[in-house]
Amino acid sequence: MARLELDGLTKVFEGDSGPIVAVEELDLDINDGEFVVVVGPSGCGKSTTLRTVAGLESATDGEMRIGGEVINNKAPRDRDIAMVFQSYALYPHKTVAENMGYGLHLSTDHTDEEIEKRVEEAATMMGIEDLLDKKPGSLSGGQQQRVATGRAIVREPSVFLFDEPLSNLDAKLRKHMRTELARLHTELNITTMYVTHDQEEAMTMADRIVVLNDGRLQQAGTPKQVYYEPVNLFVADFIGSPSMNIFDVTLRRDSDGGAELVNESFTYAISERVTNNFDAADGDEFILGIRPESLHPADETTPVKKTVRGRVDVVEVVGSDNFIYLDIDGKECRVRTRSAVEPEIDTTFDFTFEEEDIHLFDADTEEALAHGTKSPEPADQGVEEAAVGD
Amino acid sequence: MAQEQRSAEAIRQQYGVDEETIVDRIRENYAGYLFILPTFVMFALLFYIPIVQGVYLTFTNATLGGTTAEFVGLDNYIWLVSNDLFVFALGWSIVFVFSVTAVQLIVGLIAALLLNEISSSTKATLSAVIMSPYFSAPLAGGVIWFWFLDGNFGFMNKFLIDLVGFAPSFLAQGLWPYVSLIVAQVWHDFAYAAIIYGAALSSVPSEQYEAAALDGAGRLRRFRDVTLPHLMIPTVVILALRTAYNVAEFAQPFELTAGGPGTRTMLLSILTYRTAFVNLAFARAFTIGVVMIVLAMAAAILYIIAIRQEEELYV
Repeated sequence: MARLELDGLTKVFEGDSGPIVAVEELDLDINDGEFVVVVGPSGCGKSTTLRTVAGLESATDGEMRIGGEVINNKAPRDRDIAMVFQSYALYPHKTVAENMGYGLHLSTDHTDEEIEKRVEEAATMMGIEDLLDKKPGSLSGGQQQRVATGRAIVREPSVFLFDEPLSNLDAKLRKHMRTELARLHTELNITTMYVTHDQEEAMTMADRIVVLNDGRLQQAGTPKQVYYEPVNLFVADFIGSPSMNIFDVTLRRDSDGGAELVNESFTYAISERVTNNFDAADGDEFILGIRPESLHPADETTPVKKTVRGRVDVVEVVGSDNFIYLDIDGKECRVRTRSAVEPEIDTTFDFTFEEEDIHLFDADTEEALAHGTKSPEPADQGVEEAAVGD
Repeated sequence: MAQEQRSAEAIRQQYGVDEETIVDRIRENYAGYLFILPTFVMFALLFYIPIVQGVYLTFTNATLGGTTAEFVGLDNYIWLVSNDLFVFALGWSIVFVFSVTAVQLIVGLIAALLLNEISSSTKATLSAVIMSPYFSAPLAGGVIWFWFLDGNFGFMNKFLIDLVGFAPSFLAQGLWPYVSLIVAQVWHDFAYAAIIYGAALSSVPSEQYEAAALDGAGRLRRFRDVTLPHLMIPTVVILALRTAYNVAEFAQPFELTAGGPGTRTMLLSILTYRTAFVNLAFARAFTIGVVMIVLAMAAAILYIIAIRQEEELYV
């Protein structure tokens, strides 16, 4: 049983211009065998969190527990963790086999034969059994990555920590290794905390995604939860590629219970099913979010008050889809369409979207108020649900 | 996908290109050649030609200010090996060079390691202070050590006499002159090693220390398994260059003992000077110089053989 629990974890660095709060009051439970991806923009505190769990940084406040045991004051070697670094941090003068066996030699009582056997098993698992006698300098980036991962799995730790392990690889290899790490996790089922700035990596690999910004927890939930029900504007904007379209809108109520979202460029009618989710008075300001793939070309049957018009700026052909970048009175709007839709540059383009697909955020707090016709779940419920679900 | 391998000849024929000749290269890069020409000429005039001429001189009986020089074959070399003072100076020079180089290496490493531990703000100042001997003129270093060690008015003498009642004559008595020369030379140039080691230390990726700490390596282990391997190649570089410099070292030993008392601390460099400018036997001085070159080269070749093996370190 190796559950990783962070309880109010805080890390303050003393910088040249006063203290810097890198991680603030972070509460996080990672269940035994769960694969949690911590994601956020650079400087959000995700790597600091990982390094603090590893023991490479000391926690300023809060408690960290692995399998119920407090690890705050334990040396890194005694925490029963293994970490994979972004730069791999392989020892350049040691062979692959020596690199992988080094930790076992130092911190266990295994005989040389046992260590050799475990190194070979791990190497087979990573597909690097032919490289055992080579030095890291003669390996490709992908092979070095495998050795670094192999060095971690050979220790059979209770928690794996990955610090952006794939960001030094080219795009194709990165996707391949992503699948391979996911397969490895299914095979070993070891509790994993994986840090990345790549939201696509997070979406594809995670059992649960933890979004951080400015050292604070924004949302923890399954990939679908953070994608379809972001708790605030930051998460909505960060997750998804191309990112969500954002418009400032004002609510106008009409006499028969319906309402309109009004912007200087368009008016969009919404029904009670949306407005019933929150307190909304005439003239209130909101932020409207709508994902690029939820936008469709409008036709003659589309009502005027469901139509938005923009000027085509750029059309990106990616093969399976087209990304159309529209200019709506100076604001960029991204539309993802079938590859058949390819409007001319500088022509007008009318599009529409379903009210089920919209996200409304409070203009001041940027908290989510409605996801289509559903009201958002309370911010922390997503965490608990996922935790119980495992 | 795979393209068929074509011979160089086939490619040239297909696209009608000729093999690149040296004339082509000069025509293409003439500006570059023009820029290195002055250096090349000066090097030839001031370095290569004198060396060749010097080696030729060793087969003559040329003297400084003399008008004639006759070819005497290997006479000068025979004189060398049959000369007791030369044989002694050769032995003492070898002891001097290798002990100075070795101690400079160790002191330099310790200085670099300690400086590496210091936080950034004080590091620069402290480095400058610790490295300052290296940037002082060797003559100035000689004056400082002379003031320090002189048997009549030296600081160490006065200090020891006040403290314990007696003091050896550091530049004259027993083994002391040898020790004094070595210590003074180490002091002057250890910073050379410290600078190169410092650069090597700061280039060791911190993740490797972190990975080793996670693997369970303590401080000493991390030094042995992470730091030391990164210092192997710098060590060979320092050894090769320092050996050559130390063979040629003249100013500071000359100022401190000038080979004395008598000829008891005679180094090859001082002997060369005396032979050339005191005895005016220029050809013989050049012969000693050739021996010094051979000494430095032999050491360099040894180190290069060592570095060849080091290259396999990372492959």
